[in-house]
Amino acid sequence: MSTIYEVLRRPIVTEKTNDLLRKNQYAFEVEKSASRTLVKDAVEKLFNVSVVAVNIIVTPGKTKRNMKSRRTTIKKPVMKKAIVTLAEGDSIKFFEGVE
Amino acid sequence: MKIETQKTENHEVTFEVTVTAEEFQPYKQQAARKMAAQAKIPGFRPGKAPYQVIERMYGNDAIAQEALDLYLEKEYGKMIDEAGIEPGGMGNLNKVDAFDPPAFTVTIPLAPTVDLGDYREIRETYEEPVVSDEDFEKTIEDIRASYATAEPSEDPVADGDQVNALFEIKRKDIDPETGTDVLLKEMPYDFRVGSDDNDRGWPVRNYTKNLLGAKAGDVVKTEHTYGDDAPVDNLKDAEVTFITTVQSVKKMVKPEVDEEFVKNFGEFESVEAFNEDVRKRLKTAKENEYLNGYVEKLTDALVKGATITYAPAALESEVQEMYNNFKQRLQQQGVDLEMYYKVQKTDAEKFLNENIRPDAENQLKRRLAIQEFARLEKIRLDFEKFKGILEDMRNAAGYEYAKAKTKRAKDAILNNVTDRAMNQAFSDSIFDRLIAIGKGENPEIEPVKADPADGEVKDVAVDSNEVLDAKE
Repeated sequence: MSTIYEVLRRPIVTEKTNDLLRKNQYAFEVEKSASRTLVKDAVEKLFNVSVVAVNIIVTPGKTKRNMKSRRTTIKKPVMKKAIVTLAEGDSIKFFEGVE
Repeated sequence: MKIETQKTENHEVTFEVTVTAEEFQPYKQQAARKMAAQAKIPGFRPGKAPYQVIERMYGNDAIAQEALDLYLEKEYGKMIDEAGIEPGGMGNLNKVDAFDPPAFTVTIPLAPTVDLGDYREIRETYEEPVVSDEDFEKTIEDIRASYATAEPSEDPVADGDQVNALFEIKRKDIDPETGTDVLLKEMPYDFRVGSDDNDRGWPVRNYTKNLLGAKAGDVVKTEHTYGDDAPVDNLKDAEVTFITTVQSVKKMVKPEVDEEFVKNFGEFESVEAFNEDVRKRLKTAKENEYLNGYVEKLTDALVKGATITYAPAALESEVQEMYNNFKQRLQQQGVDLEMYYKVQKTDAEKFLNENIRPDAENQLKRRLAIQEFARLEKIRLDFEKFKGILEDMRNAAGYEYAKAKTKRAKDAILNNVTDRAMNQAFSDSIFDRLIAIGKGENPEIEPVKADPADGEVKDVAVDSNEVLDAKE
């Protein structure tokens, strides 16, 4: 069982998550065993905001061919993503620029 | 944007520019977009990363610097227009007090100004060059000498003879470096007696006079102490002996100028016709030589009477151009620049300041004075003269043109020939006017035609093409 300090692994900053900011949604990679409740608690506590919703997606570990090494296929690890919707007026500064 | 303009004594203008943050913000956005296009940021396609991400990645300073470049690119022209100045070159961003919002100083060199003063009053005495009988005789003698044949002789060496000899040079003392007294090993050498009465005379000036009266088999030893004429430094004050073993003597027999001989130079029917042609050529050569000197004097007088002001940047670019040309010439001759400095006992900086800079300054002043002269005199390209010069250039270029394989190479030759002909025709027109003024002929300034006659230019270009194609 993870604590809230181990739940959030890293923020996901890509073109797609950048678009989500308009809807006040933020994306994180989270611990594989983390539940919606844990993610909600973690975000609320660490960033001092109120969370309206948490959507969880488990992206499968994809395999990739690599002919350069003897291991011809590389398996990328499974990743659990959480898209957190914040209450209106709240924001996480980290995503907006340099703090 | 706040601009404080200040004119410096160096014929430059300094702009002290302060930009507000609001004015600068759009340039920062543009700079971030430009940076995003080149950046590789994980999670973003090139050019798609937002401002904040770029700022986090590169920092505000980098964006501000890039934005300043963009700002200058766009606003530089406006600044110049607003100040109402005529720039003579690229401005120099010499001081940046702040980047965001920017405050900086730009120094812009002003276009050179030339006041030729009373240039129409310039006078130089013009003396028609005359071909004297002595000149004519000397030329004929030179022609005969160049066709002279060497015939073996038993007589002692006389002036003008060719001497086949073995030649060597020995030092009086032993050279500590080489451990021997031989400076030059014995080697065969042909001397032409009397031809070394100049600085290029070898081994020393007028050495061949020592051979006068010698016969085949004689050994002529001449002692010499090198002074300032030493070919290398360590030979200065060295005492040497030149040893010449005469092997054979040949008299140079000059041909007689008769009807047979003159046929070597063209289809001359008689010796008189040949002499007439030589006199004519001699006169043209003398005239050209005199005119060159005359134009030189007039140009000097033009520059002397002119007030020319230019920014240091103009001189610097002239120096740089001259230096590059010089380097290119050396390279073509296969001489290494460092080696050249060593031989001339100088270094790059000294050479630039002492040799190139004065020449560049002189050249810049002359060019500016002549440009202003052409402008004031409303000198235009004389198309008839241009066609004539193009016709003259066609032989040499025609061969090159026929040899060129690609269309691109042919076009390059064509452009080169046309350019050269045009330049020559234009400078001829300028110098003709200058000569007329110098002689006191007071030529009239022709009014400029309203129509620049584009059609005529095209006709000429087609002509040059046809000329070269015909040669192919």
